[in-house]
Amino acid sequence: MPTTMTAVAVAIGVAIFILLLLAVLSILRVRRAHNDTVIVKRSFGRHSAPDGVGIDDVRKQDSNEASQKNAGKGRLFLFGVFIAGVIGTLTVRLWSLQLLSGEAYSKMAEENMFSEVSTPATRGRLLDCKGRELVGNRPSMTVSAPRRIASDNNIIQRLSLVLGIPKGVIRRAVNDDSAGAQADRIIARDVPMRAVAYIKEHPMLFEGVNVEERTVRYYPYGSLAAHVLGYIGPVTETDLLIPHDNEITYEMGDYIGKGGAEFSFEGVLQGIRGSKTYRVDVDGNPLAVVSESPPQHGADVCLTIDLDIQRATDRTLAAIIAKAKDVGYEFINAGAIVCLDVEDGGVLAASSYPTFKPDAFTDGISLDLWNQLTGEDSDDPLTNRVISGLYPAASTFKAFTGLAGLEHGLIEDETRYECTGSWDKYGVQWAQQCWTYPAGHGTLGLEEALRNSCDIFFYNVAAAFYEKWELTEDREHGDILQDYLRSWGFNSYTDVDLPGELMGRVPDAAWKKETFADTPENNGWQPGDMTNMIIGQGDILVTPLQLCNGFAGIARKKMLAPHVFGKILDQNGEIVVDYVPKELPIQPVFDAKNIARIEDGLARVIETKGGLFNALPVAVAGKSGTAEVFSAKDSYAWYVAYAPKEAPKYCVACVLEQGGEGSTTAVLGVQHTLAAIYGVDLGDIVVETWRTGER
Amino acid sequence: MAINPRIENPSVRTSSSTAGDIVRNFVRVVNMPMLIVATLTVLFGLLIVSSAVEGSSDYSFNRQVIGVGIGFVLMLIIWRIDYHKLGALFVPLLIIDVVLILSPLLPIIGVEAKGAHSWISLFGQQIQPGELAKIVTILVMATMVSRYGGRLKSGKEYLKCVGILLIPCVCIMAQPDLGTGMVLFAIGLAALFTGGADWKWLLATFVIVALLIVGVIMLDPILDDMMGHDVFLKEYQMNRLLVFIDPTLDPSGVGYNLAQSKITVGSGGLVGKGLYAGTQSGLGFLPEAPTDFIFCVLAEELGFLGCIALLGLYAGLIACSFWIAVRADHQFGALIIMGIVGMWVFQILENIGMTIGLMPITGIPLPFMSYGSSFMLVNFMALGLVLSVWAHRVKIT
Repeated sequence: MPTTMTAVAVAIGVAIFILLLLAVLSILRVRRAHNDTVIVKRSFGRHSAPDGVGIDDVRKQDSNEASQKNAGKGRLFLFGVFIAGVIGTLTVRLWSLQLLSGEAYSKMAEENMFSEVSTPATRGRLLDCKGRELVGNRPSMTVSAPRRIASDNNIIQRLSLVLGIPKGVIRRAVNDDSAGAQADRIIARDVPMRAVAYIKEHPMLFEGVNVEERTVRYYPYGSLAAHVLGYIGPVTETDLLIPHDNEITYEMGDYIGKGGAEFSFEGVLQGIRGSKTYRVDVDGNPLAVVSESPPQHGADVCLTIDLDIQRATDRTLAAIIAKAKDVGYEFINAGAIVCLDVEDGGVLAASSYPTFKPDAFTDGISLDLWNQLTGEDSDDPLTNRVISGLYPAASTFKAFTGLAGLEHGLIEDETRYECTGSWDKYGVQWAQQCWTYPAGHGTLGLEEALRNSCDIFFYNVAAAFYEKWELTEDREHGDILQDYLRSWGFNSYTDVDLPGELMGRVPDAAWKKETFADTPENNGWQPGDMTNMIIGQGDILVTPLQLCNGFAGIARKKMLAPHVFGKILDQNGEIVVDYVPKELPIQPVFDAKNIARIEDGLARVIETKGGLFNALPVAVAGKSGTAEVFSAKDSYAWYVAYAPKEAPKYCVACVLEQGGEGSTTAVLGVQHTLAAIYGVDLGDIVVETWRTGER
Repeated sequence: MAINPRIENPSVRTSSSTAGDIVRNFVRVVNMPMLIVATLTVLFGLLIVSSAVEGSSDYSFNRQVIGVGIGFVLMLIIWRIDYHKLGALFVPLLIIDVVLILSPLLPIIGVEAKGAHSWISLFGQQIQPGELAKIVTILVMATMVSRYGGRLKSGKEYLKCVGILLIPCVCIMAQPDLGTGMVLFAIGLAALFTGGADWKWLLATFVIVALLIVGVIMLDPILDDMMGHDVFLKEYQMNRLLVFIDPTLDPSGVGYNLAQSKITVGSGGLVGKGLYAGTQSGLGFLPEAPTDFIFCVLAEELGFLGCIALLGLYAGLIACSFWIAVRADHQFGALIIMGIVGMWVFQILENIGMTIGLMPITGIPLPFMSYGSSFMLVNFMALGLVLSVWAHRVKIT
């Protein structure tokens, strides 16, 4: 503020003050003048006029006694001083308000004038590895209303008529609290334009009801890859406790990724809100845009998912389970298929069954549906079994335990064991049987043991490992079998970029001691623990992704982190960030000759199932497994395979809960997935009728 | 001009009129400083109102100009009336006073607005007779007090005057219009004070009034509770008092007016945002901008300098009034002017004071500034009376 102007203003104020005082002082001057002249007649004498004073009376009332008039003059003077004081007070107050605090009040006036509105950023899409849209956005006319209209029967009646929705449904939607107490409740989505027009034209009839175009998350393939893609929902306070990797600020009613890739890549997909500053009037009506910063839209994320393969795995999994039920697998209810790109660890497809529709979550899932999806009989459709399902690896594990035997010199080139169907090295009372019992496999080496999935061969290897462990002085660190298995990614996270992964378990002596601390007589590490583990049974637990990644590791001779992230595209479709393959920190040690023997064994496995993979243009290597789960009524079926055998590109794992034998049911999941990859039409899935038998 | 042969002013020659006499008489009859200051004030007021009503459909600038025009004609008429004659009309004036104040309570012409009967509707025009009652009360009080010739020593005389003052004051409470009631009281107090009432009586009145106000404020909530409805003060009036005591109270609710008016005045700064460029009033944040909060419009658009200019004009108006009062030929004239000055000063103090948090908020207009014709007419009538006192102090040849 220019000081000269301030000085002028203050000077004017002082001048007014002096002027008033002069005017008041002039009263006294006139009084003095009166004593000398009679120019003006003053009438402040003490003569009182009689009642009913008339014009003549007033005029006649003479005031000759000058001395009596002084009192009246004094009062005028005092009144003048009072007035000068009033104006002086106002001046001082204005000076303090306008000049001393002027800037603070200017700021407040500006806050009044301007209103900042943030503009939402469009959420990035999720694409498959070839750029096909898996999750997109589409506009939708949405009718919403605040909770208070629940009590207004007239509005609910009208909405019911216009939208064609029963009154009870509208009332329930309005009373729903899932999106927060303050938020408007969404009554109907994808409202036809006729209804929109009617509501907009009659605002008085629909007081409080909002009609607006919203961008809704769009899932062109419904529940396809639902577990990988995940879902979004209205942001809640708990969501904000999870740190995200950039400076995104959320507002009430914003959507946030809550599962799957939507959660993992939230920071990329979300985008950053823009803002618009309006000049507004007192009612908040915008008059003009003062400044604008455009929103930064979320970037599209290309996943490693291949739409074609994913579609095949989703369909195959659902079809096998349905058909198996038809042919007598009465307990089959759930399963998973995962397909990895052997070359870089990308997840080409991941299916988990049962599944769900992600769009049910977008505006807060209804309580009914939530209960349905999480209830006791639901089979947990929200669980991504590929990364969160824990199963005994069963005979598929023999690929890794066999390699462990080779690496530790417990299986030599010439090692042969005889299988008589039963094995009682640790006493007759502890006899263990091969799955062929009472028949046996006869005498066989590693490759044939893998091919026939002979348990007794591996029991002998387990016994060798047990002896080695017993001879170790430092038993806490003597778990050489377990350590080797762990180097293939078991009992640890694969580091896949999806939320909710479990790490599984490779049991050892320390684990057993701790877990069964309450029963000290039973918590010692026994040969039986070793023989169970070596055939993938007992306390071993793996996820389908871990197992698949382990086989992919055998196929590529290296352990990589599996991932669904492919690349980030900008709005022009240019690659902004590309995936860099990530080697796992712990790499398995193996001899090329040893791993070749395992691969040879896995290739022989395929031959046992006479022609199942013959239709494929490439050779396949794999392993079946049938896990006995204590709490389940039927076995869990496994099959893992990679192809082509010579230069592996794809690795597929399939698990079916209570699906019987791996080589009967789960193998179909792998077979049909590979057939889809290589474009071979195998026709409809045919599941063999349920029977007990081979593993 | 009527000549009263019985009064001879020695300074005025009674010879035949010449050109020089006409000029001299004009100077005697017309108080140029008063006219100039008043004209400037009125024009300044119109300027600010033109900005305040801009873009509003509720107010019309033309209406305000017509009000000024009518007021000017009224002023001329009253100017010509010899004010001495009004002294003989005490009883009729008192009756007119009461009738004016109570007229809004009449069934057909009375109009109720915001819970008060303050308006009447005549020929399609709404006017506030309570405003006109201010002028009549000024005359009544001046007549009454001038009877005692500047003494008012005895309690009986003093009580008589106060009793007369109470008549319009009590009547106005029937509307009810607290603001106008306070103005009437201020008019009476100005007349009593300058009329020479004894200090002890004035002091006693002041103490009694203060106690009454405190008592009403204290008792009001209790009585409201007991009766189940507002007894003395309406809820909004009580809230205004609470906001006055604590200006930070509920700035978006009951404290909104005060908060916004202070922002408006304060944001004006030294030179303001420019005429017609006020954001607070222009965008509607300031409530009642053209009427009760017209000062805020001035303060926002013309800043501290504009405020000083207005206060300067008011000071000039009051100084001229004093100048004339001192030179009045009779105490009656001086008391009329003091009543007018009392009215102006109180309304200026209350209206400007409330916008800057010095006074509680009431709906009292700012002289010559606020939109609205009734009070504009009153101000012109007051001007006419002051000029009449000047013009009729001497005999014109």
